[in-house]
Amino acid sequence: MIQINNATILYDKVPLFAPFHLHLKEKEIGCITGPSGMGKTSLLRAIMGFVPLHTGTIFIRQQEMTPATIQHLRQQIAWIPQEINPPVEWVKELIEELLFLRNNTKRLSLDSYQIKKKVIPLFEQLDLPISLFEQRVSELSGGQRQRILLIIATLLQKPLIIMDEPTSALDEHSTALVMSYIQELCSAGSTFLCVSHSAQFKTICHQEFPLQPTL
Amino acid sequence: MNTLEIDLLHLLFGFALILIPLYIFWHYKTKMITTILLSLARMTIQLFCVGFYLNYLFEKDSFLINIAWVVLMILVATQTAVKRTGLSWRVVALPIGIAFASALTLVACYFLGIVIQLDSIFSARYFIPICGILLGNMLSANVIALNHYCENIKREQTYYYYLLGNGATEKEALSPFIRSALIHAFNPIIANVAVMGLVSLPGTLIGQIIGGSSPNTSIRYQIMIILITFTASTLSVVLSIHFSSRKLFDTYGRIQF
Repeated sequence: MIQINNATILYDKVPLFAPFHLHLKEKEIGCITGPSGMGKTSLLRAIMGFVPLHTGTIFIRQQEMTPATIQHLRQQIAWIPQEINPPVEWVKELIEELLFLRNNTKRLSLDSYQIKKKVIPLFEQLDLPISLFEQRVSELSGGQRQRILLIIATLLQKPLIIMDEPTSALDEHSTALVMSYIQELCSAGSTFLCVSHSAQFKTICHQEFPLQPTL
Repeated sequence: MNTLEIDLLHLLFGFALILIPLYIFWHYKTKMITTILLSLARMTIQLFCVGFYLNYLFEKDSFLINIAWVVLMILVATQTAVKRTGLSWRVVALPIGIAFASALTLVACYFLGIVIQLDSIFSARYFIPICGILLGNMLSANVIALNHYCENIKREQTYYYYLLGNGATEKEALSPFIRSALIHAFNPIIANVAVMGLVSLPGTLIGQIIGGSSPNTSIRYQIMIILITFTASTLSVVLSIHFSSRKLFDTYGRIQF
């Protein structure tokens, strides 16, 4: 599903970590690990094409990431940042903004009513009150926000989901819910690549990719 | 009906009025006295010079000189806009310049040629003031919109990347920011338009009435001025954002400013 060869990222002209390699197959959960400040989030952002690689190549479904392919590749990915503060007022509006992107509408063709119908069981599964759907984004806690981003990613039905610290704002109970939710999606066909510090979360990962310091 | 002349002595009486604001600024220790005096001096000298120059333009009324003057106005407006947005010259000068020139050409030609039906749309008496008022409005709208657009993208870049990372095209990922810039730049203008005539009496109307036109004619001109400045400003804001976005983001959609 995703292959990274020899990737390095510069920060102030200095490489953040030793050349990085990764090979993650379909229906796997992979976790990039390493001490804080080593560049895990930067690496994840580089995989999304948001940060330039100094060296190395990234292939997603055998297609190399280049300016010409980036748009096509991103259309196969659901991206969940650690936190967002969207300039959108309502949760419903945030969910619809993502689902109504042209490419997503073309694939999924859902209207507002169908979205709400699909969202309700997912909210229940992740222990979120249904009333949140009609609430303001600014009223959500960090943990609620993370779970809603995960629900949006699910609704988008992309083969690859990339997540930055998906359980960082969650308590033990919610972490366990999110973990079993991710495992369920994984057995249904999704591939996950994430960054996580949580020892609990690492237990569901099929592969761990530790970042190595530069020599 | 002719406008009453203001002779030099009475102009000085007029200037005496500024002693009131000067005293207030001095009393509250704003340290703005020098800046205010310099600005007023610059304004007076510039306007007198332009007055002489406009006299020359109106007497000559040559097609080429008029166009050259408007081109110069576009260049100065572009330079001011770039300076006030604080963005790199290399990145925004050309996009803003092209946006100004195209919105101006389209709207001014439409108004002068089709609405007023001038024989020669480049006639100095109409062409220069209309271009001036259009450019002045475009300038302020563009500065507000571009500043807001860039600051907002910087501040909310996680959201911009979130949209991009979930399959949005660059245009789609930028559209919430363009929407917000338009609202921010035009909300005060639209609010002002809604109370025009009740709360404020706009400049064109006052100028024309003092100049001797009938209120009926003056009001028609004023309505047209509002419409053309609004159209040209909106058009130029969207064009300058669109043109500058090519350089504000790289081929991967990464923010470059």
